Amino acid sequence: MLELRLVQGSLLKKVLEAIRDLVNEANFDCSGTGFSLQAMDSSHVALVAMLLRAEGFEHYRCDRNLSMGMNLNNMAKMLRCAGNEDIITIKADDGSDTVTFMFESPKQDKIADFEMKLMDIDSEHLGIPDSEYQAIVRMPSAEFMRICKDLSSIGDTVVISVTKEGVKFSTSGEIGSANIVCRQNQTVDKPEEATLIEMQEPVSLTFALRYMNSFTKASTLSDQVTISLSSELPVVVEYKIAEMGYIRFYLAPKIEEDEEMKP
Amino acid sequence: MAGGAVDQSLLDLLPRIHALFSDPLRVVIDGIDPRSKFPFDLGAISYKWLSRNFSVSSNDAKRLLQEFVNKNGADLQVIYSLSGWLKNNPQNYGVKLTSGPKLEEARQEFKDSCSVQVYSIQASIPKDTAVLWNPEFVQAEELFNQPFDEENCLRDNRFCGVLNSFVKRTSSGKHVSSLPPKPTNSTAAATMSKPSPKLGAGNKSEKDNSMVVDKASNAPVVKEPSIAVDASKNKAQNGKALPSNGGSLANMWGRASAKPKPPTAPNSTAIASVAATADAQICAKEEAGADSSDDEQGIKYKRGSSNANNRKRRALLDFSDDEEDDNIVSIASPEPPKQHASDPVTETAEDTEANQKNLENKDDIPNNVKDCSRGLDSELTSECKTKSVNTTNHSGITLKEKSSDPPVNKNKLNSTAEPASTSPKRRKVLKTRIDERGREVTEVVWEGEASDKTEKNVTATAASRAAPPSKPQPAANTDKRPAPSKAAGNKKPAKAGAKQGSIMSFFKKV
Repeated sequence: MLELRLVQGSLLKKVLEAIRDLVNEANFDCSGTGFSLQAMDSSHVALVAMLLRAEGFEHYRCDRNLSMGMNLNNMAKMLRCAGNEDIITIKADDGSDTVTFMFESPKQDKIADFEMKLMDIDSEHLGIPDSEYQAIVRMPSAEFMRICKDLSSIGDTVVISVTKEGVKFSTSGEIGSANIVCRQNQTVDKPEEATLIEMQEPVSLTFALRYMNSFTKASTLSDQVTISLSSELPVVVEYKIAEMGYIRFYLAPKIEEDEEMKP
Repeated sequence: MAGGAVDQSLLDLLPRIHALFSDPLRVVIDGIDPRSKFPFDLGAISYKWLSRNFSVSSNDAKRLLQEFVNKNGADLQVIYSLSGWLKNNPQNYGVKLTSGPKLEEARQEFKDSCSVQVYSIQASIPKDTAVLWNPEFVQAEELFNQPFDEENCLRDNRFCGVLNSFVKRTSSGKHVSSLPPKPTNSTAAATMSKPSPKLGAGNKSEKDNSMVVDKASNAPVVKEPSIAVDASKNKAQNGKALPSNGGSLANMWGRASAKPKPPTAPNSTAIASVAATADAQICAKEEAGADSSDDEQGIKYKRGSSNANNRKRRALLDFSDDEEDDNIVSIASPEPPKQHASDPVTETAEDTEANQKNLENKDDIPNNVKDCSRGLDSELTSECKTKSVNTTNHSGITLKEKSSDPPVNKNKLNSTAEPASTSPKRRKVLKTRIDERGREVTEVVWEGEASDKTEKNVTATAASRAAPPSKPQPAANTDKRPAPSKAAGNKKPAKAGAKQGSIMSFFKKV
């Protein structure tokens, strides 16, 4: 028996909108600690890890660990039927092959039940080690989204370089090249507009903008985005989900051709 | 190609063999494709490996090894292969692998004359016979993983022991086929070239031939082999179409994690799927090779001559989706039965049978080199046991009858065989047996837990056969894999204009 009541139902809607571009089908794992998802995109270049902690739900009941395979587009379709103010309750019975989304309007005058078929998804769960990153950039998510969008009109890849000066996003394409440098900036009035750079050592990595743009769909979840970079590791683009969890996108860097020949 | 002095050009290879042999780390030496260096320390150098690696014919390779043994015999252990008629009654033709000291002893088992050839050289006789063919397997895998348009000895089959002069190969690619090509087939740029220059001589022809047809079979066969090749080539191509940087991923894994794995370990799906298709391919090729060295193959081809497009369809269905294994499974299994007219079904059924036969035959695989000899009769009886639909006659020719199973069942069998080869939860195992004609057949078979309920037919057999002791069941069965340690220590800044890495090269499956 599973019953998760999320007062801020719009969070779930936003989560779905953020990941459904990247992943079509995924297993949602429910355990005592929370409601989570880990999935790779079909080309195994990017990985999304989402967690909504149990404490963030108004009511969280999960009798035993449950993995529910869902088609994210179908799930998004159903969640779009929920109002932004609605309370969403996710319900599933043990052994059932369906999941029920219940939407309650804030005034409790309307209750909608949507039942969705589950699917068997043979997904690989990857172990993501906790790593120390060489550089961590925290910046306004809207700013990051804008940068990725702008750069993708020029080139296909973005080189993210973190130095003492700041973080530089650069690209080049047929029509020319572009560099955007964001400097550390904590003097703003609003903390959500700050740009923070923690750097152990300079790092410079290349990524496909296509994926970055897809990640920025999660900008609606959080004002700030955290970008963690280390050479030899995938970049982590993390958006906090209210106070109750996170959504993290991992993207493998582009690598030099000759490097991969090395053992 | 008859016996005689070894060419000077071949003799030039001797120092290289020496280098290969004496260098336990198998450092790449010049002239050898770096990809073909094998990662096993002190494995065996077999004539087969040698033949493929240096692109010499297997007969030359054997002679080369003999030469090497003559020169450096003291430092190494030799495994000989003996073949000839056995003394036992009824008379059987046998092939036997034996180590140097036991050569004479083994000889006694053979009637008057038997051929003695060097099979492999190694520093020590391996306890586990799998070591003997591991390098070959890795090599074959790599050859198949090469770009599609790259010619290599496996692909153009130039060292095949049996040659059918009817098989036409063109260098630019398209095979002459009487049937309208399927869409994906038309994209397959086949690059068969160079008809095999060697005619069958030894009992141990190379088994990598994929389209050899018995000479006894007559003209209509001509189209068949080319289609068969087409199918397998199609697989080859689709195999390549999978995440193309499969090989590189292994390297990246190695970099990202504390303990790098040998390339054979299915540590990422990308790799696994590439390897899987490569293996399916090897399977297919080797099966084809095993079968085609028998007389029955000609008959089989002849019978299937009107439904060759089914082969194509198979290839198309199994590998048309290059994204994920799951997709392959889901596409292959719901295949509507009516898609197969009655004839194609038989063909697939026969394929499955062949497949099954190979699996069945695994219990014939000796675990010990010394017991490698195998007789005609036992082979035939085991076949009779396992395949009641086969009629056998005692001249050693097996006639395959059309199976009488209902089509649905066949489809099931067929589709189960394929996911089996693509499932990452399996591992491939090399099996060598001596077939009823006294030829050595090396197969790559999948072994592992039946991850899909429909796969039981095949995998049950696979799992129940004893694997060589050194090959434990894969950890993937339990989906437990060690988490990688951090690799943050390495600093190699990547530059622009490069290839997209895969997330799976950084994070391991759990």
